[in-house]
Amino acid sequence: MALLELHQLEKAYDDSHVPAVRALTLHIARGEFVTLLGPSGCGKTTTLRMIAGFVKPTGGLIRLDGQVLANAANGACVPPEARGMGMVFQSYAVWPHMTVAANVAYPLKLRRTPRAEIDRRVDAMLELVGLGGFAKRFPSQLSGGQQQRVALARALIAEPRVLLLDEPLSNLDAQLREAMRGELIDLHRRTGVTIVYVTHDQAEALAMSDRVVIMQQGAALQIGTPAEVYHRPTQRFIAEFIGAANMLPCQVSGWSAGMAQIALPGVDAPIHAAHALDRTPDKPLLVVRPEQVRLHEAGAGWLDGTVLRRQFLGEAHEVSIETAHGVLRAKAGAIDAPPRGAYVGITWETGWLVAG
Amino acid sequence: MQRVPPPTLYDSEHMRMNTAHSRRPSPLILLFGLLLLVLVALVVYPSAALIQNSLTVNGRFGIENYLYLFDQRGSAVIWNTLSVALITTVCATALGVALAWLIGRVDVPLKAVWRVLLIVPYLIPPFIGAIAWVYLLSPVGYINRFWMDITGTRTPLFVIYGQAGTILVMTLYSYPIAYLVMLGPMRQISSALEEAARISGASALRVLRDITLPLLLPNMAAAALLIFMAALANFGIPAVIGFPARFFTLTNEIYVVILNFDLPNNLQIAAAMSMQLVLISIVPLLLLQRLGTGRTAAIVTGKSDQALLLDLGVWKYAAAMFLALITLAAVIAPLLAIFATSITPAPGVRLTAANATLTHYQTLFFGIPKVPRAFFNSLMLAFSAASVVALLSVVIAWVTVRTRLPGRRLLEVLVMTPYALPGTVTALAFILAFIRPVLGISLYNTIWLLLLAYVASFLAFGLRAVTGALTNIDPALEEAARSAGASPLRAFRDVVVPLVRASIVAGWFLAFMPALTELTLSALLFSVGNETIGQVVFGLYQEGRFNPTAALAFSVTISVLLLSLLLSRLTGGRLLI
Repeated sequence: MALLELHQLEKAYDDSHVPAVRALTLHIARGEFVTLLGPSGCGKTTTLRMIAGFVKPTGGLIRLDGQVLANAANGACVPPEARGMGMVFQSYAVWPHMTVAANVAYPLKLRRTPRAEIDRRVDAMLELVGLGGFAKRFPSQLSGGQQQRVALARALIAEPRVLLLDEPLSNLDAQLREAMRGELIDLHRRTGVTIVYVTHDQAEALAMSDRVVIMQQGAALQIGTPAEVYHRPTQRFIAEFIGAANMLPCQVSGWSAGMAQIALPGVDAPIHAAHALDRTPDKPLLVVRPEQVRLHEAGAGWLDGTVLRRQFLGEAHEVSIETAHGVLRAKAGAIDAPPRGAYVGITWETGWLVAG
Repeated sequence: MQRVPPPTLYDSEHMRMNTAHSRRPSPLILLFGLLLLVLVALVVYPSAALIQNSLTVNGRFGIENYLYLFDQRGSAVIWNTLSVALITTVCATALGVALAWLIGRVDVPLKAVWRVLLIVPYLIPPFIGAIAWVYLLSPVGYINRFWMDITGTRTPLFVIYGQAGTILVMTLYSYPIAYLVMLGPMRQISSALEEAARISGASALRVLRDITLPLLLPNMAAAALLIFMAALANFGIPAVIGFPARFFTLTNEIYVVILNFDLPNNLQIAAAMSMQLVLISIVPLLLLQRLGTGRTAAIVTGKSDQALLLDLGVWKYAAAMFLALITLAAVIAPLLAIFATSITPAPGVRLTAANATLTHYQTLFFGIPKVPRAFFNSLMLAFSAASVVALLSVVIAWVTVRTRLPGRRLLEVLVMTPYALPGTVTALAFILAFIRPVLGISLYNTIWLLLLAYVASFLAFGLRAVTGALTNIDPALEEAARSAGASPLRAFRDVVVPLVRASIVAGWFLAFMPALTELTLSALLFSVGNETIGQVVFGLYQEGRFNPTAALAFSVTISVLLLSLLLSRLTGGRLLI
């Protein structure tokens, strides 16, 4: 059974006719790491704040462990302090007038935990997030990454039923962000806490989550594992938002064994693409990821093209090739990528069909 | 990020025009010398005269003047001064913080109404507020008469004269300092800091206690110190409410001694008392400056657009009642009392619809020559003082912000000195400095002395407005104009002045408004023919001209309020004095 259920959740503000969140249904299992992913303004933060209790839904229902937290039908709304959750804010929100230990101890203090137990658990928690020895410091003496850990420790100390994270890594520099990503994964595995994570960074979402909810204009477009949303996007927007994608307008000439037969103007070779569609869309688009593109001698591929630009990325090259079907991006080897101006042939390993 | 200054006397761009042509002293040095001269005349010389006089007994050096206060009055006056200032500080700070919280963070009904009404006491001259409260709570005041009518007793409910009344009125007219200081931080405080406590399990009120108020502690301390300084320096309120009960604070004691011509050495003794008042006032000033370097700015982070208003449920109606009570006491009741008194035929007569009269307004403007004269004088003085302040502010701000001249900090210190001094002290220093002709010019008993004192007292308001704006302008904007081909002066005119123009105007009004109804300096520096509005209100009140005082006080208050409203409208609400 799901631990946290959002059912037909909606939030409409008076001053806007488009709801910030609409008809969002999501069931999150105990111990799951679920990420709400989308561009800014897509409703992901509003959803998180409805779960936390800072925003009151205008429609639908939120249930945690069978207990109703918010029900728009009768106006019921449990205040944030009674929801037993932990939250990490984008700005960390570490209280500058309290020491690290006092920050982390605060939730336990409110729960009237005995002093000795507070001390013991705070020490253990600081150890867990790698801040042993920092207990007496004030936040102003800590780096951004360390403040982040304080916020994390504070959110975890009272063993929350759900841990909410609101873009917690967006204020860190790129290197630290990557390191913290690994630590969050480890922390999730060790504590087994249920996590709802909000981000606009698709790399973060793919790297850490059990499941990803792709949101746009208040609605959930696709809910699935990182591999599903990457390899089997249900919509053009998702294919473009997650990872890089080449989009080729095409014709569907037939269906066989669950694959679509693709016809590209000027291409004789039979091309197949997998899909999640139940019928041929009006404007079919073939999605090909750059790393699936293979380069050949000119004339040896399905399409030919001229290399427009070559960027060295360290572990590989990214090559942009001008073809009759537009500019295609391809990943090529770090050493053997074709130079600018080279005439090359193109094929790809797999393709995916979406509606345009 | 602090820009590292080039190792030249001033920024390189301002140097070129001098070195290229001649060996004459640079215009910058001349300008600096001129400013220093002005400030020496306005600040250093009067201060020196005050100190020297305080230590002069019968033409010789002595410290006897400093003992007079204690010989005559024991520690009573010091105790009165401190007790009024301390209790006012505690009450006004608590009130101001509570109001800022209600307006800034709580969902109270009719908020727009309270927001306007709560700053009105800041605009009403405090001594006029005191006079209004006399109309309400003198033994025959409106409230006391109403009380005796309904209870049938002949003892008033509460008589305002004395210590308690002084504290009451001072609290009502100084809470806006705390309210205005706290409102901004209260609203800008990152709401994530509060939400983090909510999600940790704290209730709304617990968040206020554990997070919001502790975070605002430095701001609260600053507000309390400002109120304490204002209370120590206040002359009008204890003069109106303390005098009748023989309750004296230091400012009033100094005033009485200055006017006590029978007392030999009276000005020297007053100078010594002034020094004693300065010594007390310096403590909060030093504390305030230490606070300024603390962690006050650290909390204003995060997304303030998400600041949530607390929903108090049914308690929000209690909050609205509280706001109504405060605005009633600080604004509505006093204004009504003044208006009612101004249209009552004579003292002791009960106002009815039939006997209401405008005759006192007529008397005022046609029967008492000094009233129209005072309006003219105050307008001219305020206009001139504000203009001089604005001009000096631009030049001083430019020198302190944009050049690297050694000694530029000294200019700032000199400007801040009269601001930190109680007006009574400044007035006495100007009397002592200019009682005899200086360089063959006699300023004493002329309107010029008032102008000088106004400029000295209000220069800090203007300077702070302009300095703040100039500091926020990236020097790169000026540098961009220079590299586009503008001369330094041209770049200043085309880029800097337009960008700080609003602040110059703000600085002008920040000096103009208090100058218009100034009392403390005027009460000591006026002379016949050179009366000011504040002095005439106070004078009529002291002469016992009960109803004309009210008519004048009402005219002044309404004019000031309308002017502020106009100003606020013209500037789109950005400028509210």
